[in-house]
Amino acid sequence: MGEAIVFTSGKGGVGKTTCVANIGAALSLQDKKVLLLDTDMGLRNLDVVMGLEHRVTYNLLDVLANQCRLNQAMIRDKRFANLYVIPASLRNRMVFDYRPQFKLLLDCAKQDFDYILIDCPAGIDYGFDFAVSQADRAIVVTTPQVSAVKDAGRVMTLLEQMGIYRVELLVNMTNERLKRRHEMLSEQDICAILGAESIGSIPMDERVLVAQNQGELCALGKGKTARAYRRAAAFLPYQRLKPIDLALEAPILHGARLYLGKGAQA
Amino acid sequence: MMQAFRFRKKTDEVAKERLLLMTEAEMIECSTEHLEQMKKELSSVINRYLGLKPEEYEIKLLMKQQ
Repeated sequence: MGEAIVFTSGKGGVGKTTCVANIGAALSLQDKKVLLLDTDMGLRNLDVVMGLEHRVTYNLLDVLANQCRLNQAMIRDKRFANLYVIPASLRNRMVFDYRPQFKLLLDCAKQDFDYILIDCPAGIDYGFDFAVSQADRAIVVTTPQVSAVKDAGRVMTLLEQMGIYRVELLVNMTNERLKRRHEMLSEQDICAILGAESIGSIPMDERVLVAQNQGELCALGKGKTARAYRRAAAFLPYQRLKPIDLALEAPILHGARLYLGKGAQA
Repeated sequence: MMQAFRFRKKTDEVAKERLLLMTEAEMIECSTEHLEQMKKELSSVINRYLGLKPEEYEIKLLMKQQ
């Protein structure tokens, strides 16, 4: 039985899609069977980042609307043993009507796959609700920018309201030089502010862009960024303490989420 | 903010303080300005009665579940 993990962030441009592609690839290297789902309808990008855009015939909406079978829509990435992608649709149709079908799709996929990584659209509107609705757990991607950290905190509150209690962080685009000069929030700082655990931090690296130019994934390579992706992927399966168990260590934040969570439900 | 500037505080500390303040303010649904003011007033009360300096204690908000 597999796990459905949604990658979300609130703020756009923090590298959700890039992280989904690279961590998916890294998991596949660890002999896990991985399915990547792009739910960013209308802004289909996961296949482009992975260099699979010319192989798209069916998309997620086709599966949900019963226009094709599940394995017809899956694109197998030939560079990896067990990596499959279902791209988003190009048209921004209301996916909200397809929630039951989406649940069915994930239940089917969980039988076959170890991990299903869901690439969530930016923002916290209906696209977010849809992407998150069927996830078992969430990775909140953030960067050391204050706006990204603030949005991550907001998204974590929403995730808890939606019943997703296992939430971890992934800090993207860090810079060692700035961190040494104390001009950038560290991974530890961000974890303390948000009261959550992190699965790793990914350095800001021009090779990520260069690899994407050619439709390649840098998680395959040798550099420190490739290692960071692989390390994060290796941390992903571990069951760690939920933030709720850390109540004594972070009373303010725990209280904040509890308060907002209960307040909105009542 | 001005105070942070005068002591030449590192910007990661400034960012951290701002974010923590924002989260706290969001929790009790008031503005960061009010929260800061409240903490200042509490500090002066603590100083008056206990004679403690701000470095010697920490003000934290704990909310009970409804």
